[in-house]
Amino acid sequence: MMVFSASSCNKWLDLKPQDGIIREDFWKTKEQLNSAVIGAYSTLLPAGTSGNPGLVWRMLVWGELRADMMGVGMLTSNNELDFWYHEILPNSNLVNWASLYTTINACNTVIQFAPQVPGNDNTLSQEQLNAYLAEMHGLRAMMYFYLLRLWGEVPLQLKASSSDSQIEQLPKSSKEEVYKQIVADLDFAIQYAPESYGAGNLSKDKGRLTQYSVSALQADVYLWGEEYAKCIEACERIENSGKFGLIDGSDPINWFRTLYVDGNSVEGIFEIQFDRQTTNPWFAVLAGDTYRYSAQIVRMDAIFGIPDPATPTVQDIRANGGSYSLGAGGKLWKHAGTSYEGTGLVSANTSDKNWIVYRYADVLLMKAEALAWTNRGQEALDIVNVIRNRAGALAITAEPADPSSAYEVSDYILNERAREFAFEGKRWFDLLRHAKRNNYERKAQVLIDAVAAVAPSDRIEAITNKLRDYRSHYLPIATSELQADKLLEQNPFYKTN
Amino acid sequence: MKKINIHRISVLALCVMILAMVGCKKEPFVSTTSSQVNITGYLEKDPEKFSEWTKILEITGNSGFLQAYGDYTMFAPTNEGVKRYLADMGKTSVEQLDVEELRRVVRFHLLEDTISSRQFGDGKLNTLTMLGQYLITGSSNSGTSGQTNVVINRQANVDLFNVRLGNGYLHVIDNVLRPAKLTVAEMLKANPAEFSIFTEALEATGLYNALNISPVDNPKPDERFLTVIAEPNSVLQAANILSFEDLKTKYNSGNPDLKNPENGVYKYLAYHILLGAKYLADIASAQSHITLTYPEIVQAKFRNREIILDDMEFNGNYEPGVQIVKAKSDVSAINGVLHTVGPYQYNHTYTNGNGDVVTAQGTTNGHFAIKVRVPFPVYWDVADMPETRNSGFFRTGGSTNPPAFRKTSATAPSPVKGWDWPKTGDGFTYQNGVSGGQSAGHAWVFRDYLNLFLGNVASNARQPWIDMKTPVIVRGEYYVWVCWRRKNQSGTWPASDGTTARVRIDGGDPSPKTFAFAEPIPFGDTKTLEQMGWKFYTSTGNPANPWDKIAFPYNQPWQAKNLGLMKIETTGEHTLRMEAIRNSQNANNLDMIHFIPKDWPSQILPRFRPDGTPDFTDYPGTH
Repeated sequence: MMVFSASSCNKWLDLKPQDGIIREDFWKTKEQLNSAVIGAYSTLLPAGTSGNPGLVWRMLVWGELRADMMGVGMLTSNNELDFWYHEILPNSNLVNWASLYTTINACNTVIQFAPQVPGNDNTLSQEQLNAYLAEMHGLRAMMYFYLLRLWGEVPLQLKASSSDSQIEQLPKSSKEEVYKQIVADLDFAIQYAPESYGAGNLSKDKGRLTQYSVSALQADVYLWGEEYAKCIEACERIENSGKFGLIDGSDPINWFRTLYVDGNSVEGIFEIQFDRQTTNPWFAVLAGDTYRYSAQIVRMDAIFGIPDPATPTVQDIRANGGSYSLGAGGKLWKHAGTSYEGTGLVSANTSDKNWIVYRYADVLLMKAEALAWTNRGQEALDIVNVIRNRAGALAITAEPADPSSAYEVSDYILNERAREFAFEGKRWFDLLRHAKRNNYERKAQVLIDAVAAVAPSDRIEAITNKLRDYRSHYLPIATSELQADKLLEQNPFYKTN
Repeated sequence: MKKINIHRISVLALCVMILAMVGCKKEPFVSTTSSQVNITGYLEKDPEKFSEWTKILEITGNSGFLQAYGDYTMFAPTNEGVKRYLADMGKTSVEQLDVEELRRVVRFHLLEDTISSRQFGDGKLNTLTMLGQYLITGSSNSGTSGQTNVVINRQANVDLFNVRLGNGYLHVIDNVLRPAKLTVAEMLKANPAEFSIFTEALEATGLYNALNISPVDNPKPDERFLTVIAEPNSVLQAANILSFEDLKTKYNSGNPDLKNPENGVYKYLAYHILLGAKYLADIASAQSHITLTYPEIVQAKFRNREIILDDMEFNGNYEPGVQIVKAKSDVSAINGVLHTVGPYQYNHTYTNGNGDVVTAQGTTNGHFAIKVRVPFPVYWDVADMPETRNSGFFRTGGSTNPPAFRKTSATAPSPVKGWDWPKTGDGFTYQNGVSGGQSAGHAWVFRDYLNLFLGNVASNARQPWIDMKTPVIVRGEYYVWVCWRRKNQSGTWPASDGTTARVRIDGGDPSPKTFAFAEPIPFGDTKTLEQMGWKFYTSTGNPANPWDKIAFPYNQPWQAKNLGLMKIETTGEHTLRMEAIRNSQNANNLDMIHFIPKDWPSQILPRFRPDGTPDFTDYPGTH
């Protein structure tokens, strides 16, 4: 096909692509544009290795390992152990953000060059072009939202760069600037993103960005930014579409299969699409004898409650057998198991469950959280009950939250989210969102308490003291990035490393 | 089944794009500012920061060996740090300082080991400084700025971590570390407002002198470092002990000579002195600690992030304990550590003698003395010992090069204190993670085990016996359970038994039963197995059907065998000898040994999870 040449070695300096001519050759037809857009999504898929985990693997680690629900398993690297201990050094392979910027750059490339296509291919309508651009703006926003929550201040790379994973020499932007960019990208995306990719295209409707996945992302972003009215508005767009619902939990076997094993269910809104040709990392990472992460069993009892000995079979479907398996050493069953309460594990070939980024339950609970903070506590509690009833939550985990107390209601929602989204890569972000709310009004206590509950006895003081320094809630910038981009400054907590 | 592939078409195009973008050579990765410099060289290269410390190293004659190759860790104070020190000493230049004192100070900043911030936790570093005192690490969060610092010895903040140099690690600190100058005894005496009664009692019993010897001069190796849990006057007063006379009235029994270890006052005090330098993190991470009133022990619990001593529940009774006052503890002395004890506000739910669940609430006064102890179960993780803790691999993510503990000759001292074996070479290796091609994952409790180099075949290099030092066990009768993962190195059971072994305690009679490392657990449910003297001791890891005949020679469950009732004659640490009776194999993988009192409610539960936490549910099903 095409041979690109990149001979200059000043890649950090070149903001313009070195292969402009050939790129111009590429952006000729709408088919080429389409494949570039799909190509951007496929940057989400590589499974990676323990030395350099892929993006979805990182999403699990970033979203869980510093929090209280997921612990280290049987085969754990020192980098993972350090992450778990909150002893995070800039040379750790887990603080490398390259995989996020790889996707961002794929988006940037389309955003920059796609407008050339209509000039070459007049069968591409402006509407179609905008729809593609909306997807790329939305996907870029999603990646920046991870960056914002993980590192806080990051460089805003908005142009196509000559290297897929590396960013140009750019300084960091402030959290506010990054947030603004995310909001702006989503404003564009919501204007043009399609409602659907056509009947029978379920994997596209769940695997590419639509009005609804963009709305879910908006809701999440606005909740982070404490813009509650906008969050509610975005959630209601999804609710009012009538296209989504909760999978019935009264038949847990079917619930597990439909939601997690088969995927792309009526509950799914955005799912990173794996299949038998492109499997997810979980077979190697979570299912084998040398599984790297497992549930923190002691914490599971506290979070899901222990079934009444008189009625041992009455249990939260999201607990043992659903999210994790006691019979299998606390393996993360949601990802590693093949059936509810079963014993079968995914194999190398069948490790193809989607990674669910947003689903309808998330939308409902995000809305509930926003309602709690806009004096609509009772409505919020009603939503929590919908989620609890679907899952058969144990009565002992019900909380008598006062509807007029925003903190009581949102703490309850936080606990419900722990149950609902166990090991779905959300726990750390949930804890941090609650911890930092109203400018850390409660001194991050909710986060510190959760982490302290599982911290080892000879490190608990070191870990909790670290978390009292809010700067530690964000990751260090990787040493390799600092060396590559001289304008970057290490995040303040890690300047001594 | 699911999902039409949406990506297939485009992947080729994408690959081409990615390929195109990789154009030039990678720059060499340099993780620190200097790659091959040694410690002295690094300091000399940056006089703006380190000229004063460099001068101190020269004055004390230390710069030479720090230029040589070796494995060191140095905490290097900046010029500002040295200035702070000078100001505190009332001097204006380093030349004015006493050289001998400076030598001590420098040795306190140096460790003969490579220690990165990964090993910093809540307590002492496991390696002694070259001065022979421990350094403690910790962290502080100053309320005003909200920033957290890592603090060394409560005296200096770390400015820069982990500079990897040719001969070790360097950590930059903002003050000079001051070695302790007082012994534990002197520290108590220097604070009469808090400790006058306790100190007077120590003096009267002669224990003051035992606490007043510097480690190098102490003829008793076990007592070089001692840890005192002192009762302040306020606590004693709350217990109606207003003076030393009151204390004497209360405890003076037994031998009338206060200086005699059989005297009641002596015993009361000696019970407050633990062997070894035990910082709070050390106390929190063990069930029990030996005191100077050997064999009496203090039990410790870590509850709600507080350390509670002698909080006991037995036979349906609950005795609330006392609490260590964190803010007044972890004070380093030349020869140990000083902690202060105080009241404990308890709120404890337990099952009483009538089988009712009850909650006890109240506050103890902080006064504590020797308690009558009933036997309690000891679930011994055999791989947990100071030497493995110090190996750098302890309970970490696995090493491809597991530490082997070996003797250089048959008569050489053992590398593990309290352990021994008769022949030259390996005694055991410490295994975790995946190593040597052998998966060590699975159900291992605390994710680790010992691979014992044990066997009894003439001409074979394996050890016919290995002596192991147990944790503290209270005097009494116990069922001894050996917990291991069954494996046949070669051949099949029963023709091949791996290594058959038994145990002895303190050179006494051998265990009533033997076991073989290749011996399989029989069939049965939990109850049947218990009757036959077997159990599954792990929470997980045994496949649903751990022992079926088809998989017969290959199945490798984690299992425990009851070797029978054995008597522990005294309360304390004991020597357990595991002796091979016949045959020999490589795969002798020992995880735990349980000592469970004969009348304890359950010989079977708890089982243990890989993270070491107990699981109080029966192993499901029949196997």
